[in-house]
Amino acid sequence: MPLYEKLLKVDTRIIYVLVLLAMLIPMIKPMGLPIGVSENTRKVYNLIESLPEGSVILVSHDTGPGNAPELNPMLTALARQAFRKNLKIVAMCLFDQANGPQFIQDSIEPVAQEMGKEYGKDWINLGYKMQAQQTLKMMIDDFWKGANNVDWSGKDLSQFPIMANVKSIKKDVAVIFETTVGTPGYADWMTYVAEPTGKPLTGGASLTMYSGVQQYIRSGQLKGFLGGMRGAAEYEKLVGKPGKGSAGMDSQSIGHLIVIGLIIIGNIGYYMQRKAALKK
Amino acid sequence: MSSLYFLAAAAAKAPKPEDLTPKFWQPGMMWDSIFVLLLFLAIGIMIQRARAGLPIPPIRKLAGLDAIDEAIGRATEMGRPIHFSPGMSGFTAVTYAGLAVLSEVAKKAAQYDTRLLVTNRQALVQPVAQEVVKQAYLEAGRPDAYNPDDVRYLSDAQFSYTTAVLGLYQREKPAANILYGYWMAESLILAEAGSQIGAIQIGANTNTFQIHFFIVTMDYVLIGEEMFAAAAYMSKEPVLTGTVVGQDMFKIAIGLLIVFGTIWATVAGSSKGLVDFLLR
Amino acid sequence: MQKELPLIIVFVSGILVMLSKFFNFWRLPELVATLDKWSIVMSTFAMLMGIIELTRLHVNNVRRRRINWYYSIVTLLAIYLYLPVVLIQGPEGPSPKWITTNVSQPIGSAIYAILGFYIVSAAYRSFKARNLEASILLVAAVLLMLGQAPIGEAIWSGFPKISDWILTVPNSAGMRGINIGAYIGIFATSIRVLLGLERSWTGSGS
Repeated sequence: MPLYEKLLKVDTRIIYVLVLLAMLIPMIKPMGLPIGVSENTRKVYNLIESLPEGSVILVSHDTGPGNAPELNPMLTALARQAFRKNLKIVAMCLFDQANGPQFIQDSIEPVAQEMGKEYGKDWINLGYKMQAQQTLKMMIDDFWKGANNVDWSGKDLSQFPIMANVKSIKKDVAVIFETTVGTPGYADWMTYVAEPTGKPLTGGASLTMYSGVQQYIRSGQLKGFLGGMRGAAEYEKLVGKPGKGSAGMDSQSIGHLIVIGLIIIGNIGYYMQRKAALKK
Repeated sequence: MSSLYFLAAAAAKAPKPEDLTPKFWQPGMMWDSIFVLLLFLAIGIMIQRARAGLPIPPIRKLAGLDAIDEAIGRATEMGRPIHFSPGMSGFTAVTYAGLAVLSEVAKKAAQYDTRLLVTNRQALVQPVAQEVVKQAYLEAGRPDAYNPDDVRYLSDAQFSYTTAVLGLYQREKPAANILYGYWMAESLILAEAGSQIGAIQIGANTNTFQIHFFIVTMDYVLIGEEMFAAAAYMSKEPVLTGTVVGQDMFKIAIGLLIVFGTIWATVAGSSKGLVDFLLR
Repeated sequence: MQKELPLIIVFVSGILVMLSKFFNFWRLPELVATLDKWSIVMSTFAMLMGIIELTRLHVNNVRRRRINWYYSIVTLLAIYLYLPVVLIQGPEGPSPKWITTNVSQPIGSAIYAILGFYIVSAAYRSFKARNLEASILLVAAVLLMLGQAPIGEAIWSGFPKISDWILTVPNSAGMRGINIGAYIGIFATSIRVLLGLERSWTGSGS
């Protein structure tokens, strides 16, 4: 087999093993590469930092299990910043009924316990809400009705002191923080809530979606946005406590180098093939 | 240029929106409703021209739609089935476009006696897809060839649907794979798996976050509004073609508005005056 | 009437929802709010239809001993063993939560992780500098990968800046163009469905 054919037809199993090693080795032996902070992440941090004490952040954690490693650390870092500033968090999800509420609980509860914040007083998990568009439209004026009057465990909202001051998005919510991987996602929040009410909308997206939200950041409709695990790592750095976002960065670095290496090998093989064909 | 500057200054000093907007209009929606009426007008004019038998511009060549015949022919020669999916969304315009193409694909599959496998993610779409395929087989004169088990609802959950389709690829080894609708994270998984079994692939996706995965892995891709021209393109009906032309006329008008807004923003230093004027 | 009734329903409900976006008169908002509630109820019934459809498909697979029919038994067991557990304990009950946390979530994450491998094999196969457009795609992809990962920044501090510029300028421009076209296309298709010009979905032909 000529060399160019070997370069063009590397077995996919070898490729997959290389990728697996690229992910695993940095997890066992971290390299600790420094992480710079982008302008978009700074915008998110500064927006939350500018809120007065007692302000309500409405969180919509719209992710599934696939993107949870990218987006859960964002929520954890937000909780840390918000609780440090004595802000309130009202969290819900529109995307994944089975996993979304548990992700909220797993991301916020440990930080709340660490920082002495109480469920029902400083933060609440409203769980999954069906029919995103209709729910959001209702919540603008009547938040409790949109939330079906219950939290994620089915308890009436009247039992929770935090909800006494959250009756409508229009009057009682300071900022909307939305983590998005698809639909329902940031587009629904932007179309049905942020644009009609003028509430600032920020949050984070999976890396595949991050390229698509840039236009909305440039137009000012999104007040900064975090992008994938890199965005989570940057946010953790600003908040001052590295977490799962930062831990994945070394694997991402090696993984990217592997991809670039394979692309170079493929192109070398392609050019050698073209040269051989021209010679014939 | 100076007249634009004075226009901008006048718009900035204009009375507040609530003083001008008639009460029956939703706040900020006056210009939106005018633009929608313009779109109706453009489409209406082209429909009337088509009905009157006047010439209307033809739709340009769309390689992805032309390739459907090639894909069905390849599947027929190889004695392997065709796989079609109308996407992940419920009853949206994208699904209607997908069902229009499904109708044409089913008719041709019936004519060539090639097995057609249709997979659905949405339970609401399932009976409609079954009816569309059944009717197509009836119109092709092959009602006996229709098998309701070949039009399958697999799962509402994103990755459950994806793994079910991956299993179908391995079992049935379709020679042609048509993914026509709204796709999210599963787009790359399905497209790459289809590529690995050697299927000829045609994709269409309005999700701009995922379209690049289709472009990289599929043989033919319809981007953005190309997928909505399918019904008109394949049926060659003048009235449907007229609606596509009307839509393009409106797009040109939007393009001119963008150019005007860019010049305005450059001259006035900011587009705020124009935006405030349009948000009345 | 079988062909006309779906078109009438689509026209009336579509026009009402569209008018409610722009106008505010009579009892239009209340009417549309009622339609919204009905759509929520219909989605719930759709889930029931989905279960019936899945059961029919997999029972047929088992009866006719189609290829890999034993996996259909696994599917049916998964549906009909899980259903009573959720009905008795509720979705937040201990068993459903255990299944969600220890079965559903890891499987979902694993399937999503396949993306990482598939991206690499797709990039290796497709990113060849065959012509100008492919070369631009290749160079942009490499620059973005180097800009996003900390190692790129460690090699040269300019990579993140180039990566940000590619994301915010040419990428945004392309996305905006495609989005504007796609949304106008969606609107035009909706008008065609509303006016009954697009009828393939009714199963009654064009």
